[in-house]
Amino acid sequence: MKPDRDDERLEAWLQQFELRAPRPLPGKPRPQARRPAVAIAALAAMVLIAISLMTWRGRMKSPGPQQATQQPAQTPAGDEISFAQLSRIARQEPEKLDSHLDRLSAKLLPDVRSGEGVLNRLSRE
Amino acid sequence: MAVKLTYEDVRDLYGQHGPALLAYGTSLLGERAAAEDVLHQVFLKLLGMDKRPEDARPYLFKAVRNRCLNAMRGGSRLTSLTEDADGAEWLVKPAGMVEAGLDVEKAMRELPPEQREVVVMRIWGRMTLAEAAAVLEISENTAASRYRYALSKLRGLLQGSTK
Repeated sequence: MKPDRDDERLEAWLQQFELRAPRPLPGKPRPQARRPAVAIAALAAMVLIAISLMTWRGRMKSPGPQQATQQPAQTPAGDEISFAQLSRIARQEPEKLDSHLDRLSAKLLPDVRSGEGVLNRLSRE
Repeated sequence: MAVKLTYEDVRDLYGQHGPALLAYGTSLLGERAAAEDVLHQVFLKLLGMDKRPEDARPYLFKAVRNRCLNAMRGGSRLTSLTEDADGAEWLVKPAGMVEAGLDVEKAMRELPPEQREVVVMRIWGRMTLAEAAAVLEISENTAASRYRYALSKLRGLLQGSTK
């Protein structure tokens, strides 16, 4: 199908109008820049400061020496035993480990057989 | 040989085909800003492609068309241009041609969308009717018929302006 003269004339007339250009493409995607060492050091310093502050505040909130003495002395200092000590006993004197654990449990855990123990209360209910 | 596109390649293609694609997208969506968004999506997607399209122009028109149709299916865009659509201008109007340019845009708005898109592809996209038909997935005869009807209607609408 051949365009007639009128069509050609109209095409040429329309083509004289230029088109608007679209807004530019978004910028070239950049590879992620490496964080400078200074920024990392600053971040580490901030974390350290935050941890120090939290520790200090925690100490400020903890009970003073007078309050501490009012607490029931369930575990006298002499009887306290650390996990390190337990580990050492387990390695060197495994046969005594059970007795150590029993002694610790008796001091640390509530006595369920006493008059006000949980089991007695439950049995009464 | 197929070569992966760099950002500079994409930017060149954008400079070369962007204006015609913007006119085409605006003719479909009725809103230039929305058409620009579509163009950006299409061109930035080229960056992720392993191969450069063999024939960029029809490929880009088709990509823009598909995205515009998807946007229209989403119901968020107009399918026909309205006179008060401020953002629907897509022609540069040089001094002394402002009125005529506005008349062209107005006349284009009055075309049925399927005729309007053939006109944009043929007149401003500088595509052959065979290329336009391939983009629209219609026969060349159908594209030619739409184009002739559109020109006939435009001639009537622009009678005063073309003299």
